[in-house]
Amino acid sequence: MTAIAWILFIAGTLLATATGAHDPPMWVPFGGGITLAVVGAMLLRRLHAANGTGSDDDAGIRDLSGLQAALHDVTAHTAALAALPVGQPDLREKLDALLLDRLLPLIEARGFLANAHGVEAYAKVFTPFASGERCLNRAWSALADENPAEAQAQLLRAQQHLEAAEKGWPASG
Amino acid sequence: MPEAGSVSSGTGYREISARAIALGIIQGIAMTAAFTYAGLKLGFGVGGSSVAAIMGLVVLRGVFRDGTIVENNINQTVASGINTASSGVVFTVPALLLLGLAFDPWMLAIAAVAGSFMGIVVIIPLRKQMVELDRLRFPTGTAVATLLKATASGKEKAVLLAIGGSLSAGMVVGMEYGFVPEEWDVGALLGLPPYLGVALYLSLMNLGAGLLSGKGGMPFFLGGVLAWWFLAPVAVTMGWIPPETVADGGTVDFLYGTMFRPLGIGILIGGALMGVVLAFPAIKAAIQSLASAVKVKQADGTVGPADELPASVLYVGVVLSAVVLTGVVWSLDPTLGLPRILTAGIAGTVWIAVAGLIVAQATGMTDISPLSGLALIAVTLLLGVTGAIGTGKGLDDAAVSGAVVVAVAVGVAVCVATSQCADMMQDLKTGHLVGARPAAQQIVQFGVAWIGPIVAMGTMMLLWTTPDGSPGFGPESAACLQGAGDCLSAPQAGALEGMIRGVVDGNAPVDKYLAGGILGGAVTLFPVGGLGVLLGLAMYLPFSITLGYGIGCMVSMGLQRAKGARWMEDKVVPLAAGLIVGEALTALVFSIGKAFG
Repeated sequence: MTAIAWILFIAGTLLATATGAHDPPMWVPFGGGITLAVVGAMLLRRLHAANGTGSDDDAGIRDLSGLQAALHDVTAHTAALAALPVGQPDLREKLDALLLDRLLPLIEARGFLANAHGVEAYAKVFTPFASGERCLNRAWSALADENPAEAQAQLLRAQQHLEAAEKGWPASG
Repeated sequence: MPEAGSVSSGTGYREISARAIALGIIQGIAMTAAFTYAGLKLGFGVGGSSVAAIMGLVVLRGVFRDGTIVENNINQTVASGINTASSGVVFTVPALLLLGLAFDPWMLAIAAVAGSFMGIVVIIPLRKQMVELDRLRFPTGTAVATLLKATASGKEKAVLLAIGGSLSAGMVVGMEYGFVPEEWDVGALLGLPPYLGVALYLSLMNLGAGLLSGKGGMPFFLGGVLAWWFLAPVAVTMGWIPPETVADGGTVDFLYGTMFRPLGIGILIGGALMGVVLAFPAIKAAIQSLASAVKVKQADGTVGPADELPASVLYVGVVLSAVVLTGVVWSLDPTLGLPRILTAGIAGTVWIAVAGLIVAQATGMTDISPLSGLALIAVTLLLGVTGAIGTGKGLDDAAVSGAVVVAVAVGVAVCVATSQCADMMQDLKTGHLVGARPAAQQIVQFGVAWIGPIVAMGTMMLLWTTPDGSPGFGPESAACLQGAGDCLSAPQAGALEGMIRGVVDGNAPVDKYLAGGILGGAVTLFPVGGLGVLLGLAMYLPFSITLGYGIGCMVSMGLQRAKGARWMEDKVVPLAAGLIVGEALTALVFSIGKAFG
């Protein structure tokens, strides 16, 4: 089925592109090409959702439950950093590790959620998640600018946003 | 404690400050005047974000010693927000001067200012969608964030940034002095026919954008392949090129100008519109999150400013923009009649929103913004609305010339708005990566958005008014006819002038736009976001750019597979950022030198 969907989409796109670019466009074969491309694309969308694919790399998150666990893990680590005393000397290294080793793989695997539950459910989780990520980035900048109080405040805010992201996770997921 | 004249969070972390805004305004005005001159002379615009960020490092961190990363981000946001108007004005307004039509420059300046504000307004929901949800790369925005954080990111990243910058700068210098060609004609070397377009634009900035985009940018490369390695051979083999064109050696120009480019513009538009339909639930959720944005409680328990601008700003801004544009249309040509005046104002506003969406997606995925193509569509659309297409009357007819002035005025608003959108989205991506408050960036941008259009219009009108009364620029100006060094040929506006003459005569490729629109909508149904926009953009641009960018994407994908995401962030991002920043800086120095030398 996947091969058929790909063939329909590619053949339709090629036919529609060639006949649409002709001067003037050749409308009848163009319409045929568009029909094939639309059917192929819709089949691929359905297969894509059914297979639940969504990871951009080999980051270790293999499925939707892995993504949910990773989100919980990021929230927990953010809370742990936020609980550290203000001015903790190695906070920036710990924050770097959180951003690169935990947040980045989660971002790479975010497609699992949209494919399984649609873009609205994805937005409900990843809108607060992105706000949390921005607060973590601000905490990093504040530490680089030697303002540990701001870093601490931003870590607390990041924790709140990430908890909101966890709460927004779809019930069936 | 925060200094007087600064706005910071409750912890004294300075973000908006008088000195950052002042530095941004000074740089922005200087760059606007310089870029207006350079745009009239060379035909392209230069981004100012990285230049402003480096100046910010020198002044805020070097001189004042206590500048913060997010404060420097405000400086670069202000500077680039001002200078971005120069492209919008230079690409459009001179067309009226070249056509010899009378117009009120103040009305065009008002249209440009309205466009500038509208450009900021439409990105309010687009930021949520493209920066936070789609997580588009915005290569220049990523590069500027890397630059802002460079002093604190460790020695290794700083070294990689410097290596990238040096390589890129060296390449530009080599091109300027003729040691390196701008394009490497690989096809000629391999004995391939020219219509396959196998030439490589030797821009390391382009390569860097591809490196940062990776897998996400591949559809852009495939769009180029579709046009030049599938469609071109088919068209040639099937005899679709007129024999006289082939005999005159115009095959490549016909393929690009008559087939690919108009179809590409249509695909861009259809793809963007279908993208809105598909992403509507997410966009709705994003706007709802804006509507529910609340003031932020700070560490000391006090309530601070909200991070997001409320959705009401979007609604009010759109309505105001429509009112101002309608007023400009009425003022420029009251003889159009109320229905056409209202339609022109509303159509212009709607097109600004659609064009803003297109340019935000295009810059987010590839770093390239098709400003001139979107302005061209705006002018065509407005010429249609005002009834100036195919009337059989020339530009000497008062009704036609009045309609052309109206169409170009809306075109100015669209071009300034889209350049503002492209710049603001890059700035907001930078802001996301350094942890800036989006509302802070948007508020300062609102405060300075009027400056750029006024400076650009003023500079352009000063350059046009020569002491002896002869036209100051354009291919027919005395300086250009004599081949003098101060010739300002205004190439982009010259192209728009030619297009306007063609459209008025009824030669707009509307059938190609329509076919492209349908095709763009269809391919966007494919389960990879933004496919239509990327394919359209690839057809709209020369293949030499797409090819170099695609090589960057493929190298990035190979490295990501071999080394992983963290290695990419640690090594490739700073190197690619250096490639982008180095070329931007060096090209700026050379273009200003050429313009004033």
